[in-house]
Amino acid sequence: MTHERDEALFRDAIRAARAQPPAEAGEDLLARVMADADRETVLRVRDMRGASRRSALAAFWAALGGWVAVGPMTAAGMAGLWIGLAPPVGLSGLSQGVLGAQTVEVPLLGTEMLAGLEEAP
Amino acid sequence: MSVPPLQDCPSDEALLAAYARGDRAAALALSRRVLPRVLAQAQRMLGDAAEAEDVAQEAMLRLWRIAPDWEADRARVTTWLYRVVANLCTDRLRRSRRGLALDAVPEPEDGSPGAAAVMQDDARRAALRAALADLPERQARAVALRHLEGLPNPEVARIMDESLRTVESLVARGKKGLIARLRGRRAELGYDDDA
Repeated sequence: MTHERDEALFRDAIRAARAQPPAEAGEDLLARVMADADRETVLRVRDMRGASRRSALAAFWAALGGWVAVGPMTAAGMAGLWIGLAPPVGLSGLSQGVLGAQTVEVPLLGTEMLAGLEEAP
Repeated sequence: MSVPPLQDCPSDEALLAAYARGDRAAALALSRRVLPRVLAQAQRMLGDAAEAEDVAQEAMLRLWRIAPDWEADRARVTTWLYRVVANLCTDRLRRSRRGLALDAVPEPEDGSPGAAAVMQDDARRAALRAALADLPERQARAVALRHLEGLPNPEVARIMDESLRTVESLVARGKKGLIARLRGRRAELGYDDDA
């Protein structure tokens, strides 16, 4: 008896829920759903473009050899620049011994390049 | 590789794949096809049209997001949507614990037997949702899919990605739990225990 009453209780509640008139999927809801679909398409295209740009940079970096190659190359360049700007004391004696006593001066900017500027208004 | 014309592959999965390739018409066709069922499922579980629309929109948004990664042989779109809607609805019911106060059921405008029956049905729906909100989540989903949606257990098992035996157990325990929660409200729900 109790079992039957429980079953009726459950069955009636389910029937009431299923009997509720279904909401209609109106044009307003459809428009919102499609707006979401459009937005997701735009975001996806943007992500794909960003990813392809990133992969082009990554390919360029890999062609250079990555950090393993570029790191020592940069260090050597910096060292050369430093030696050029402030040569160690013994270096000029060494170079004169190797290349001879003749000193050659090379101007960084040719004087002819500055000549025209002197008369500029 | 040439893409077959849409009319030759009108399955939900083909429409979703076409949308992932940028075909807006495919998204529209898929929405028109599945949205009414998605909305109806949400409405049966939540009993509120506005909330059901929110859930339907959210479920469709998740579908658009997964579209590029969809594996056609993994699942059917409808199966996936059943799961997402059931999850979203049980989450909402549990968060708000709403629908639960029978006092919230509106009074009928007249005293006719028809109006009383409508009110009684409203009260039973509210009590059912209160009980669902109170059940453990997996039981609530299993019972809703089995009894509110009327799906067979093997289909519920596919939707929930559980074994058939597990689903049978979840449905049985869920139903028992619902009855236990409804039993205390017999009088409110219009049952005369002396009869």
